[in-house]
Amino acid sequence: MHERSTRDWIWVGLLGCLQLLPIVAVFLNSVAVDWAGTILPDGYTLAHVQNILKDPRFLLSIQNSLIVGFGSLLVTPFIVVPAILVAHCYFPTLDKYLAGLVILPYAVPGIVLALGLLRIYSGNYGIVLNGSPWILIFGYMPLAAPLYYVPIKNNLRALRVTELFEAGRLLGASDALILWRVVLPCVKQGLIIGLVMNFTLAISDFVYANLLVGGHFPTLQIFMGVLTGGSGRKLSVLITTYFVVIFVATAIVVWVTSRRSEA
Amino acid sequence: MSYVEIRELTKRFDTTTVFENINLDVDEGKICVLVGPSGCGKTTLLRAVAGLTQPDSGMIRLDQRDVTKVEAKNRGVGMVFQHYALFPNMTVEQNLAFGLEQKKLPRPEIRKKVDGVIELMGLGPRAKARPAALSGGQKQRVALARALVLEPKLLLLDEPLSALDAQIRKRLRDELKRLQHDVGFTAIFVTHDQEEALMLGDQVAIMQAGRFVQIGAPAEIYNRPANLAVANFVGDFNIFDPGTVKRLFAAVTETSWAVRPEAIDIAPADRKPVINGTAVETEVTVTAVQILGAMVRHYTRAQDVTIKVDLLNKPDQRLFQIGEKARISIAKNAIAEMNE
Repeated sequence: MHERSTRDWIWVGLLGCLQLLPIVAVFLNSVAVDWAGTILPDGYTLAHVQNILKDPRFLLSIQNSLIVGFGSLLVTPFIVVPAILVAHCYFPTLDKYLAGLVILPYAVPGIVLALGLLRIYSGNYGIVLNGSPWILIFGYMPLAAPLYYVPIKNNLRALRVTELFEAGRLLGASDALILWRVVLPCVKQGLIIGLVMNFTLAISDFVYANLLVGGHFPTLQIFMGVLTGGSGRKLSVLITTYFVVIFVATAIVVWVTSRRSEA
Repeated sequence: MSYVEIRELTKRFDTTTVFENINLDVDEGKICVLVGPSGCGKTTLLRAVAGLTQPDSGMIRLDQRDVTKVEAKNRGVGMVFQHYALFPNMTVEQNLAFGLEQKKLPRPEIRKKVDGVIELMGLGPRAKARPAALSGGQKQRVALARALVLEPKLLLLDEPLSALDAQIRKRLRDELKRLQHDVGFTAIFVTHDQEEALMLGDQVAIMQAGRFVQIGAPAEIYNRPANLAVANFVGDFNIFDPGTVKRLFAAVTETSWAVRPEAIDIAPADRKPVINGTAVETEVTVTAVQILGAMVRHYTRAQDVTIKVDLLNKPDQRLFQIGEKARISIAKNAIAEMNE
């Protein structure tokens, strides 16, 4: 086996630095007294963090983003994942059309899709969706579909699904049980990637949130938009918070999913 | 009445007929080996018996019960797949327990049966491992154990050894034979390997182009192939058409002769071979000699016809040299006469 040399470490370290540098810079800016013309800030303070924490709009936007993020996780995978599995297992000939269908929302300009979604969800369905988190939760669903489709399909391709079903049936199991106990745990990695990306999409989107709900339901991204013209320090605090929220939520999603599949 | 009866079974895929009106009987406690070239319909037949594919017509009876239209899970058959089909997310123990759980057996009974089959198959040290951590041979033993633990009425094996290397294949073949002796299960085993078929089968059914061309005991299949196609498939027969027979052996026949290489006696050209009973003989030239392990294959030539002759590879065996003149003789009772 090739021995790791200093040069190898430099390549890996360089990539790590490039990835971490913006996050570190934003964090430093959020706690800087003043930062201009020097490599590091002149001094450090938590005053901007305290200011933001006192702002009721901040807490509301965090709360709204988490509602949309976790709400999306409670709805989207339960519709998208079974569709991917069923198409792969039972309709392999239709599967190629599904592959095209899931990326369709990305081929449509955001404004067009947002208008379409507004038209659909402004209809009279007995409940008011317009301006509510539901319009975002359902609106993100088609956008999140490829985020599940690609990694889960990669996992499925590595499985001999037909043989697993046949073996399971001969052992006396129903197809639903085989899906639940065999196929789904085997695509766990893809599912986790899908869940994390779905969550990230839901809480990091500005375009659809702004067009679909705007000020009716201000999310973290909308609040960031509001702050864009103001204090750069406050914005840095917000971005750092956003990163921490994503990090913690991702850790929770990974933890919950791994526990469930091990059970 | 046989334990497994297949009657007038037909299966078509669109316009392609996989097999038509085929019949097969398997006795209880015996292994029937379906052997034939790829695409001859043997796997489809196995799947029809398993209930994984529905035949177009005909009947499958298992232990005096018509199971033709019975769901796979209710037929009481176990199946071992070529690529194992083990559940990758489960350990060996969990794979073995899966079928028993579906039968809603009490936990202690499941534990007892799983432990029993783990011991029977020598899987103890790997019981907690997942399939990805097992070798090919171990995976196939788990697949076999998973089918056997349910005590199926009939065990179906679809080319279970073909994905393994030669050494492991041979060892598993021996193990399978021992298991069948110890447990006494009835099995239908699909393979395209004639050696495997002859070694494992109590009964061998040769399938070609969707029909059985010969069904019989291994010795019968080996020594008395029904036709040239079977002879070509089940081994290294020397086939002599009537014209060649006349030229080489000065004998008159209307059928072709099939002769096993090991049934031919070879001796130096200046010494007449010693053969009990009536024999035919001719002079040949040795063109190549190959050590095959237990046998030494001599390729000889006479009047532009290549004749294979096998000698037992004993320490004192006289091997012929390339270019050496020799004399071969064939006992008449070693000749299988057959039509096309």
